[in-house]
Amino acid sequence: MVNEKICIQNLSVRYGDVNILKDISTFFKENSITALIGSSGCGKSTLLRTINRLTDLDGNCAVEGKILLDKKDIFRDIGANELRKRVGMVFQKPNPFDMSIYDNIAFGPRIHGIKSKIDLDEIAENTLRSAALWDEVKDYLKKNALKLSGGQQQRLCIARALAVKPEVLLMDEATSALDPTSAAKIEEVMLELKQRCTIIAVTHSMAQAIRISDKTVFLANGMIIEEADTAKLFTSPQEAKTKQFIKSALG
Amino acid sequence: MLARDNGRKSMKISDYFESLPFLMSAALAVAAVSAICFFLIAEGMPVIKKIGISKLVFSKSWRPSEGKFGIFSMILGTVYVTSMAALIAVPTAVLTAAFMSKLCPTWLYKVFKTVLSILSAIPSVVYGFFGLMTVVPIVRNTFGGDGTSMLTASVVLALMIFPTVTAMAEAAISSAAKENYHSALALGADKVRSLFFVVLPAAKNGITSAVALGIARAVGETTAVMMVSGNQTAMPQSLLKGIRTITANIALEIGYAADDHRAALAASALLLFAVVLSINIIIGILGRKKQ
Ligand SMILES: Nc1ncnc2c1ncn2[C@@H]1O[C@H](COP(=O)(O)OP(=O)(O)OP(=O)(O)O)[C@@H](O)[C@H]1O
Ligand SMILES: [Mg+2]
Repeated sequence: MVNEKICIQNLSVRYGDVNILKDISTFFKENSITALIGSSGCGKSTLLRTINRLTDLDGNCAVEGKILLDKKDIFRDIGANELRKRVGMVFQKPNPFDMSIYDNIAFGPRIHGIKSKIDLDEIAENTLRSAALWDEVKDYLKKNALKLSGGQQQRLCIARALAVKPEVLLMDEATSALDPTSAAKIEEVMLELKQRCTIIAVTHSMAQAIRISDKTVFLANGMIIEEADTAKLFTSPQEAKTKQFIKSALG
Repeated sequence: MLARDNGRKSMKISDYFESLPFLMSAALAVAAVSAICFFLIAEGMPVIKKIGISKLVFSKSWRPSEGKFGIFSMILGTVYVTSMAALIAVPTAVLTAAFMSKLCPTWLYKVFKTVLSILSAIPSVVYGFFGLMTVVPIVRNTFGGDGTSMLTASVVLALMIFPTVTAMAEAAISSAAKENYHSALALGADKVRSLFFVVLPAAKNGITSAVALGIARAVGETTAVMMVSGNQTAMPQSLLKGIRTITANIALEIGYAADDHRAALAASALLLFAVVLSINIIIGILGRKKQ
């Protein structure tokens, strides 16, 4: 019996009168990486944003159905802030806060009541190591984070997300704005993180999905067309739409 | 037809014709600014030469009939009223802007937007009238005196610059740091905390420009202030005593001033022009930095 960290049951999401996600049900296994693939506008980001309730910010967004985190309903049994502490997110565009590298990392822990310098120092070192950034920045922790390169910024954003010890990490095309070397580094980081986190990663790169993910979910037009172990989905897709999508995406 | 026949050359001519109105308008604007500048210098220079810039700026007595043209009290009046107005308006405006852009529901946002644009379209004299009819009596009844005072003027001025600062700050906050805001929330921070510690710092350049613009507007504002500030030329003494600003001084006296008196008013206008111009240059630099 697999451990279902996140379980989605009959989830529908509407913006105004437009149905973006239509009756989606699936689950995300603990300590695994799941890739979300599908063409632009099919609702991948919306699904991620619903999982940590960033969709709450959009006034015209209506959500139906259930999402369970460790069997608890995220809309009823868990407060939005607590949920977001447990379900972290890394965005497509690297977006460090306009403050020092150290303060970027310390931002989350400080919110959640960690004040001691010793603890914060330790968190900073550990998360920066996890994000494969420590060696590059350890002597410049007081430097403004916006001075880092794009790839470094994105790794900092991962470190920042890790600093609140999330159980789940949502990554929305986290490597698509980066050069191949930086992207490869982040992929390594993700594989490492899998030990402690459940990762859900939206990606437009089939190669990346194949390299890092255990399971792949293919969305089209707001519906799950097919989901399977990654190797299986890419070698023997069952649905015609999946075949077609993979074929065109692999070029 | 012709355009097609002549190809490239006629393209250029039509381009030229298209841009002509823009070019002419721009030239007109530049000409106007230069003309004002030239006029002020021509009018004001003689008196500056005669009594000296430092005497004009730092001498405390303004008695045109005795040939005393010191505008220090009015400079202080302008500085005090402007800074007090900014002190009142800026925090309120920034908080309102933050609330509008991140915390309030869409329908309320629309209400705010409409109210702000109405507020910024109200003519200055109406603010002055409002100040005279409501703020002046309140100040009089609460603190005594005749009600026209530095305090009253600051409140009215604050009210006037509030919509400008709010609208600009709101634009800055909304455009800056959307991703930052989401990232902060995604770390479990509440909205207020994300706003204060992440969004406002990220929008600081835009907010600074908004504040600078508000201050520039406050420095230049005449009518409303003149209606509620008492206009005494004496050195400002307290919040509850009257003051006169540089602009009010010009507006009040230019009608009958002649010779040196007139030139002294022109010189103070020149000074004001320089100050507002510098503020605008600072805004420009900040704006460029943002990009
Ligand atoms: N705040 C919003 N208001 C209205 N419609 C929205 C909003 N956010 C997203 N949508 C719509 O939802 C649909 C799905 O968007 P979403 O961002 O989830 O797509 P996506 O699969 O992530 O696409 P991409 O691969 O391009 O990132 C789009 O049609 C989009 O226009
Ligand atoms: Mg997306």
